[in-house]
Amino acid sequence: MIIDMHCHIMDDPADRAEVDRLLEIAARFDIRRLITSMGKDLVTHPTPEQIREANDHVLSLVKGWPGRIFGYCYLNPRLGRAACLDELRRCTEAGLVAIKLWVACACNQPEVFPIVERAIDLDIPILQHTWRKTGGNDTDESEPRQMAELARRYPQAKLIMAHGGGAWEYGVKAVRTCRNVVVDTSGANPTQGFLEMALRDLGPERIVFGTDAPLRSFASQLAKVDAVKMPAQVRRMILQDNAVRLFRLPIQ
Amino acid sequence: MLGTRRPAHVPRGRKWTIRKLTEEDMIDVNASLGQWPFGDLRYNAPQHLLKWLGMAGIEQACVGPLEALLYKDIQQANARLHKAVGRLRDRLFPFCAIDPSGPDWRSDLEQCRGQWRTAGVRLFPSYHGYNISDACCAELFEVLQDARLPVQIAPVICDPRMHHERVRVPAASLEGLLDLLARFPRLNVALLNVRVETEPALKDAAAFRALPNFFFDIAWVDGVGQVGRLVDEFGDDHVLLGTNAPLMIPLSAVYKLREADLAQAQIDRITHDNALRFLGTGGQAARSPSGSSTTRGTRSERTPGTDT
Repeated sequence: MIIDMHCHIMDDPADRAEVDRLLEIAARFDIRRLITSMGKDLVTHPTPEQIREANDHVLSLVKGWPGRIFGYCYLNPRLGRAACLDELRRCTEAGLVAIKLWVACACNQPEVFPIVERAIDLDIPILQHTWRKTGGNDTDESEPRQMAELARRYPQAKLIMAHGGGAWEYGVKAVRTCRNVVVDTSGANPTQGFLEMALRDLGPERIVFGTDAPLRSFASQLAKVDAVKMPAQVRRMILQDNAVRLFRLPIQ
Repeated sequence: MLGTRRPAHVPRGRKWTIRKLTEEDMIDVNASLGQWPFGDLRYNAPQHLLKWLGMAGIEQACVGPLEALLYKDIQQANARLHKAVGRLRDRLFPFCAIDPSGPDWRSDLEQCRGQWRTAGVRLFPSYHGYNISDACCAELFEVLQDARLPVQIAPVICDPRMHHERVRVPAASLEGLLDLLARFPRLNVALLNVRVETEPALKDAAAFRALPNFFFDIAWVDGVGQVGRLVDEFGDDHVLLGTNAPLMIPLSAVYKLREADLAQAQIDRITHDNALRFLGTGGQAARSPSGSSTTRGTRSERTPGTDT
């Protein structure tokens, strides 16, 4: 059984057939658990209303498919400490298991700190979008080195660097001394070398499997793992065990 | 009987991975050999590449020279490709690189064709600095059409967001492609590494669907169910199995076909028949430049009805 810890189920939860269809496609690859975020519209700089709407969408999915779909609480740090922590409390009490931060605010900015501190209190991970783009990132889009900065500031925080930092040759290197940072495999073309480098430099316990589906296919992303020769227990760590541990999922 | 090898080191529990996708030899139209200037590649030598493709169940591939991206005299890259392919021409079909904006490309092409028996031509307009709508491109297409050599256009090789900071090469525009295809109806043209689902120049799917000489590969097509949607939109006659190996993981393209809801006949076309048509072999046996057949038997000679 495989856990996809980074996807975006955008289908309307009221349309059970659509969601079931996506789950059926995932299941073809033995992906049986999905952790989703950001609702149906993927808003980069959401207002409080948009945040609530996105998280309600995720909560509906979690409630509609219990034990099959889990969810992140999406936050915009720019909305302020109180708004973020209130929304986080609402969502975690309702069953969401982690925090998702995207591109509203670079992750080394002070606005992010209260969120991280609360995540430490709650013992939940933060999935932070990261990318190092040639020619420069979008405004407020986090780079791997900023992720490393945050990790060093909060060594107790459980941080997940999404997409391996995009340009993984830089991303993996940037966080390799930060033991509290895990990388996910999601997004980007399935280039040869990423997983090999992550295994070598981070070790299997610091890699989790994600897809960014439906923006990326389950197929292209799983190929990243399946194409690399590794012991069965290492594969299982990446595809399942690390996520169960990190997100404290109720899975045997 | 078909083999029951797993395409990669995947758990035995995933039953579908032990089944071959098709009874035909799968052909990858988008592979490369040679040196990549920005990092080590593991599978860029012929035998290594074939082994890696074999893990995904792919037996044959069209290969271009990676050195052609940056060599000032790309004929050196073509010479290396010719040498590398060597005796593996029954499985690796060389696609020489030609730069129609460069000096005396006709002589380069003549050597590739006459001496090295290239199976086709691969273009890298972004690296060589021209647009496919430029006059030089039409001149080349005319020659290729007369020579019955198929052409591949790779507007990009790796994600521009991940290029070396000092070697940024934006994707080439495909503006004017439709006109070019219509102008050279006997020239088979394949796009490589294009996100067809979002490419503005391919918006008019119906128009491209009507052109029998138009093909595209699925190496860069991504998103849940996207391959299936494009097959519906453009027609399964235009879609090719392509991997962009060794830069990308070949298993990805094969898995994407698994993810798509395709009939077996469609999979056969995408992984095999269309490649033969693109290569100009009329749907018979894949031509190797030495003229030998590369398919190991017709469909009827093989075990019928095997679940793939």
